[in-house]
Amino acid sequence: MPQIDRLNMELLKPLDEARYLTAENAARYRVILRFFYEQHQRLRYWLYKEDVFDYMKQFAVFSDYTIEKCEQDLNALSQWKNLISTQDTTKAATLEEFKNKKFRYQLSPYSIEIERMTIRLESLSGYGGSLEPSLFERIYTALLKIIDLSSSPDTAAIHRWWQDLNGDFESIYHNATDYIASLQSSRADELMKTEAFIVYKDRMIDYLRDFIKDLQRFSSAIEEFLKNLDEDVVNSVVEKLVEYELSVPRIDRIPEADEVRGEIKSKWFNLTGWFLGYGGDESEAYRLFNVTNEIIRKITRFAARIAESRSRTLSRKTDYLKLAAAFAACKDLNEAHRLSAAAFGAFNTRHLAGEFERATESITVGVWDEKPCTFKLKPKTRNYSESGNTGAVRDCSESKSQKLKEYLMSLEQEREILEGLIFQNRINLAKLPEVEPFVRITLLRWIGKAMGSRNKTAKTEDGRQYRVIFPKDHERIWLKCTDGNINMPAFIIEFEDVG
Amino acid sequence: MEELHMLLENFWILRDENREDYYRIRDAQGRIKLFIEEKLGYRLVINPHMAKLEKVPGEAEAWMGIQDFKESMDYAFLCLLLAFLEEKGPEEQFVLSNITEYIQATYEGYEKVDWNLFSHRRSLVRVLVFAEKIGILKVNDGEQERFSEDRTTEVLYENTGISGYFLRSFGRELGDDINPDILLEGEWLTGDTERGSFRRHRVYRKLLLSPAVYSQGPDDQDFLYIKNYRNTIQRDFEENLGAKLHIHKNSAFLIYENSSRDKSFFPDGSNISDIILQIGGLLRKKLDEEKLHVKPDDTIEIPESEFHHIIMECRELYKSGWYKSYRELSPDKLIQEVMDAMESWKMIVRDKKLRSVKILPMVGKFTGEYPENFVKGVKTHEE
Repeated sequence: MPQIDRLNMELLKPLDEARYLTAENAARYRVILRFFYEQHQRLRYWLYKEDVFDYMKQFAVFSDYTIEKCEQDLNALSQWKNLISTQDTTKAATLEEFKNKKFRYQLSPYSIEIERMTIRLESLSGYGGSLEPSLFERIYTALLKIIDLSSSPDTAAIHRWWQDLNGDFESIYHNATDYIASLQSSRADELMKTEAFIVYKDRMIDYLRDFIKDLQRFSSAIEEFLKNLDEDVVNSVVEKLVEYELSVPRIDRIPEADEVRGEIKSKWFNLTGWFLGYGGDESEAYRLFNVTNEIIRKITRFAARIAESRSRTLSRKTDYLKLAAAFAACKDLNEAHRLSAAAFGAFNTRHLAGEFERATESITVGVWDEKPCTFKLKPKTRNYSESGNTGAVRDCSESKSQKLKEYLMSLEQEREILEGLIFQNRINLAKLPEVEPFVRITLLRWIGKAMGSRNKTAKTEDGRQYRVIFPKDHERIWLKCTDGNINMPAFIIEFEDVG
Repeated sequence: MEELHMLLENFWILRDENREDYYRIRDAQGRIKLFIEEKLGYRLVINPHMAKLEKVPGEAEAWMGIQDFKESMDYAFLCLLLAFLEEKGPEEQFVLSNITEYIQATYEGYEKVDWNLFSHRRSLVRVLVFAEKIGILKVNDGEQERFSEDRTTEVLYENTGISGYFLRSFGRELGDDINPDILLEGEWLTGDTERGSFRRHRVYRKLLLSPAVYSQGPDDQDFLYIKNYRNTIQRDFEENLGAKLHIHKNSAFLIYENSSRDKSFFPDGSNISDIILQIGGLLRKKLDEEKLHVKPDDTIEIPESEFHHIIMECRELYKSGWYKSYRELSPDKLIQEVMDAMESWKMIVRDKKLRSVKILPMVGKFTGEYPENFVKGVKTHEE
C-alpha cells in the first residue's frame, strides 16, 4: 500500500517569480534579469530604468525598444516580484539628479536563485549568506601551495586542491556579495531606523570591521603573491589539472584537452581578476572593501540619528510660526531687531575696548568731569606714511617684507619645478628623475587628496583639476628622491586640459 | 577665559566646522559654568553638534539683531524657514521652490508674499545667505544669490538638522502675544523669583552684552545694584573675561582688553570709529569753551541741527585724514551714518518729536587725535 504523504501546502502556490522565464516577452525579461544578475555580482545592486534601457539598446534584436517599453517591462518584473523597486533615497549631487529621482530596482532574492539556476542549467554548471572572514585566509594559504604543487606528480592531490580553492572562492563570491546586498536593501534601511537596531549595531560593526581587516590583510597579500607568481608555475599546474581531468573515466563523452584547459584557465582568470582587477578596472576585492566601509558608515550614521531623536525635544514648529507672525507685524526694523534679541539672544557682545584709564575710582563723578582717554588715530590717506616714527619699527617691517618676498620667490620656484614635470598634461611617476623632497611631498599630497574622492579627482592648491590614474598592471616603482626612495604604485597624475 | 570669549562672540560653535574650539569649550565647561549659571543665569548648551551660550539680553537692543537683515520681513522669512526645516530630517534634501512655496503659503503679514517683487526675493536671499552662513542649511547645488535676479532659479539644499536649536528655549510654549518684554519676562519668572538672583542675572547680562548701562534715575534698582556690588562684579568680570568695570555718576561700562577676535568693539580703528572719537574731542572743546553744558544726569542735550553742525565741523577739520569714500560722502549721508552708528552704540538718543539729540555719557570717555607730524604736514601742505 502506497504511503500517504502529507501534502506540502507550499506546493499548491504558483511561483510568480518564475513567470518571466515563460511569459510572452520572455526574451526581453530574461535579458533584463541577466543584466541585473551580472551587475549584482559586481556589487552594483541598484539600477535605474535608463541603465537597463541603455544596455538593451545595444543589441540589434531590441532596436525598436523604447524607454516606455522598458518601464513597462520593469513594472511587470516588479509585479512578479523579480525586482524590488524603491524610490531613490540616496543623496543627489545636483539639481538635475534630484528632479530625476525615480524608482530604482534591485533583484529579489528569488530572482538571484532563479538566475543562478538558469546559469547552471545553461552550462550544466542563498541569499542571506554570511561573510566568512577565514575564507580569505584559506584562499591565501591555498594559493601559496601552488608552487609546491607545480612540481608534484600527484595530479589527484592537485585536483583536490583546485576543487577546494574554487569552493572557497565561490563562497566569497556568492556569500559576501549576497550578505552585503541584504545589508544594502531597502528593508535593511528600514530596520536600521528602528530603535531595536541600536542593540545590534555594535555587534554588526565589529563583525564588518573584522571582515574588513581580514580582507585588507589577505587581499593585498594575495594580490602581491599573484602578481609575482611565475607564469610557468601556473601553466604547469593547469597542465596537470588537464591531465587529471582527461584521466577520469567518463561514460558520456570525452572532452577535448583544449576545452578542459580553456575552462580551467578562465576559472583561474576569474579568481585572479577578483583580487587584481580585470583589465585595469578596480578589483572586486577593492570594491567589496569600499562597499563594506560605506555600510559601516551608514550604520553609524543611522545609530547617531536614532540616539538623537530620542533626546530631541518637541518640534518647535508652532513657536517658529508664531514668531514669524510677530516679526511680520513689527513696525520697523529696529523693533524686529529687538524682538530677535529677545527670541534668539544676542549674536555677539558690544563693548568699549582698549586702554581706557581712569585717574579715580569714584562712582559719583560724571564722565565729563574726568579726563577723557585720548586715542592716537592713524590717518587713512595713502600719502601719509609713518616715516616720522622711530627707525626700529621701520627696520623690522623691512626685514619682514624681505622675508615675505623670499618666501614668495621660493614658492614660485617650487611651482616652476613641478610645472617642469608635467608632460602632455600628465605627471607620470614612473618617468620622474630624482626629485627634491618637496616634490615628493607635493605629489603624495595630491594623490592623497584625490584618493579621498570617488572618481579620484581633486584640485591643486592653485585650483587646477586633476585625476589620479592607477597603473594598469599594478606596476610599482621606486620614486627616487634626494633624501631617500619610496616604493609606490606607478601613479599617473593627469591634469584637466585648461586650454 | 578664552573659551567664554568664543561663546560670547559667536552665536554657536558647530563641531563640524570648528572642532578645535568645540572641544576646547567642552573641556572647559567645568571651569566656566559657575560664572555662567550663577552670575548670568545662562544655560550653556553642549551637545554632539554644537556649543552654544544663549545670550539672553538684560534688555533687548536693536544692535543685537541680525545685522545682515534689512527688513522685518527678513526675520519673518527666517522663522518660516526654520519651521519648514523642522519637518525635514537631517541630511534631507529639498529645493528652493519647496521653500518659496512653503513661505508663500504660511506667511501672515500685512501684505502677501509675491515672488515677482524684487524686494521680496531680495529679502529671502538675505535670509538664505544668513542661514547657510550660520549653518542651518547647506547648498548642494546652485547659486542662491541668483534668486533675487531670476525667480525661476533653483537651488538644491540639504538640511543640517540643527535648526531646532536656533531658537532659545523658553521653558514653555509661546502664547499668541509676542513682544520682547514678554519673551524676556519669562526669564525673570522662571526659577526662584527672589529679587536677588534675577536682578543679579539681569544686571550681569546688561553689563556683559551692552556697551554701556545708564542709570534711569535715582530709583533705578539695577544701577544701584551695580554701585553696591561693584567690587564683586568687578572681580567676576576681571577673572572670567579680563574686563574692567568703570562706574561713573550715571553710567557703567565694562571695558574689554583690545582684542581683534571680538566682533564688535569701540574704537576699532575704522574710519567711522575715528570720526566718532574726533566728535568726542570737539564736544570736549565746546564744553571747555562753555558753548555746551552738561546736565545733572551727565548728558548733553542739543537741537539736532546743532549736532549736524558739529559733524560738519568735524569734517572740515579732519577730513584730510579720512578715506576718500568718507571725504566725498554728501553731508546728509555723512550725518545719517554718524548718527546711526552713535545711536546703535548707545552714545546718543534722538528725540524725533523735539528734533533734539541727547549725547550720552559714553561720548565723554574718549577723544581722538592724529599724530602731530600728520597735523603739521597737513597744515604746511595747505599753506
